[in-house]
Amino acid sequence: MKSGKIQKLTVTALFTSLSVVLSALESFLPSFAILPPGAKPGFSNIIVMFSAMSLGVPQTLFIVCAKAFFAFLTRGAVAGLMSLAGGLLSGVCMLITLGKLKMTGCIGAGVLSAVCHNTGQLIVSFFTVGSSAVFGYAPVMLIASVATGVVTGAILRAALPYFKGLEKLFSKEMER
Amino acid sequence: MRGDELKTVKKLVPFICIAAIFAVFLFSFVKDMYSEKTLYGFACGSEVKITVSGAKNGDKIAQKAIDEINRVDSYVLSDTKKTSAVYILNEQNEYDDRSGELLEYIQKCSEMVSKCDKMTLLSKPLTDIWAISDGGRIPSSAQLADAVKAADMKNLSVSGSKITLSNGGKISFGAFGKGACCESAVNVLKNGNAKGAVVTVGGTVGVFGDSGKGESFTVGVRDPFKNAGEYFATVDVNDCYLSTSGDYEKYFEKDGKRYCHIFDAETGLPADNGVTSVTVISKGGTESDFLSTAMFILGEGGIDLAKRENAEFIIVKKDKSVIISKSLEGKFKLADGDFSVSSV
Amino acid sequence: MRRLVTRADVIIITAVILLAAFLWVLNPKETGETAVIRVDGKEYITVNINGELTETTVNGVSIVYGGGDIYIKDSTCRDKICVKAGRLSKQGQSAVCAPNRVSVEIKGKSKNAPWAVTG
Repeated sequence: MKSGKIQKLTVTALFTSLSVVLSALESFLPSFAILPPGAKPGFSNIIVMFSAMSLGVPQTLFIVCAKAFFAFLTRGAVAGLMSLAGGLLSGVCMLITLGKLKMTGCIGAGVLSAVCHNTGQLIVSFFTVGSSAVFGYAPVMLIASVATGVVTGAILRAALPYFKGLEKLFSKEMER
Repeated sequence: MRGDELKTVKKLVPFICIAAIFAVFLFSFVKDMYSEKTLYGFACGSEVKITVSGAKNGDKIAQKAIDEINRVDSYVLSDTKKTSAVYILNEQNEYDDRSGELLEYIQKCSEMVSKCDKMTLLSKPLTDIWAISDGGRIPSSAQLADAVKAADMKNLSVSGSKITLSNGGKISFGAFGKGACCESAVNVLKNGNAKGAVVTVGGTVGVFGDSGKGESFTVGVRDPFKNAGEYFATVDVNDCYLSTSGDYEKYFEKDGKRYCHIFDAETGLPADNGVTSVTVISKGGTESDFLSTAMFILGEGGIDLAKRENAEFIIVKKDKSVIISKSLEGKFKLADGDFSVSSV
Repeated sequence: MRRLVTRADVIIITAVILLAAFLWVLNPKETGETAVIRVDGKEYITVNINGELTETTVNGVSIVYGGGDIYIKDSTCRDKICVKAGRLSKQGQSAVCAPNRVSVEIKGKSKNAPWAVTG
């Protein structure tokens, strides 16, 4: 096995645990006063965004699935399903916008990621709750996504210099 | 690099502001255009609901219409409110109607009543002895005979502006008032330039104009076997009034028999002919209210009357069979499969 | 190094806010789970009918809601039509006490609900 591959595997494992820890920590936080009930800052999206930027497709999807599996273990099937749907949607979206198109900045990526994540969750809750009432929540969710997306995007931008060393590991995939 | 980013942000700030302001204006405009304003009130012993669509100050016009209904009910037609002309007339057996408003209603309704022997404008003696709103009681045959005599239209006479009652006759607009109030509210809304509206006064609904969703308004017909607000069918109509008379709300039961609040003026007995509700659709509110009551008393025999008056009808019998007028075919849609429909 | 904000970002944020505003305008904020109690035609209170059992008295009308429905338990009026209306749980169902000028209605308007109900 090439050393580059091992490094990549290690970083993926590291980031997977980081995203799980972040989402676990988030669930311990008291609900944010400015955010509507149920909305969370979504710090683990930062990891997914970075992964989409520099790790690659299989790695990003692995992180998303691992996080969903963790949610399934700790908070049950519905939470797991919601995490999976939200994570996959935002993961794929990030892979396209950050990995391929590279047109968005950090804030835009954060917002998109949050919107996709929440949309996925909303769709799942529509099918599990079976009430179209959840869509009445959509406008609130979108605005909350803008707020949290800006925050996570800014954090991503602030953290990027520290990830620089890691980026160098995969410099072939990084142009900027 | 940082300065570069700041520049981009600064450049885009006016763009965001303009977009936001534009969005707010656009959406408030769209919202006003398509939103309906709904106001509620109480008159004629029931709830009043007015929905105005396509008007920017819809709530103000709707309030005017509610005020008008209240005025007509409280000062002219009510037989329970002490301020009304009818109440004073019933108390004093005499009333000089200088404004002519009550006279107009009396003339209009007397003319309608003359088309049906089983109807009277002097129905208050009958409602009083049956006392449905007090829990109900079955009167003796002597009481009944007296009440039938008192309810005879001969006991009402008009000369000039003077209205006189005799032999215990007392006016009640029970079979006309809601329709009349509905009609006056619709007129207020039309004069207030509402583009379209739905006015509900108890069992009478008046609709006109632009619904914002196609040519016609969909109005539900109350399911007589279920809760208020539930309907077994809908009709697509416009520029007309719909009234429903039924035995499912105001009634009392004794020894397993249901006594409803609509009485046959000839016998003084509650209508009882296998019909549980009658809906009439016609060009006038007073007329639809009158016809639904008359048809409820006449049962299927009332179909001729409706046809003579060019009104459409939906008769629901106690066995859940429904008779509609031929002209309603296509506009009438069953929402509950339990009912069987035929048209005549 | 990736930028913090690009032109595309501003477009994305604007689009999301516009979408939110659009959905907010389109969406009726009422669902089948709430009931509105009106006094004299004016909204008095909107309650959640799926919560705990609660009893409230307005203008001599005692209303019980919670556990999935709402009903008028008793009223000072004589005809008690409002009490006969029974338990309400579906959109559009209503109970009206005309003498006390109190009405209860399950909120919500689905797309194909009629404008009014005669009867």
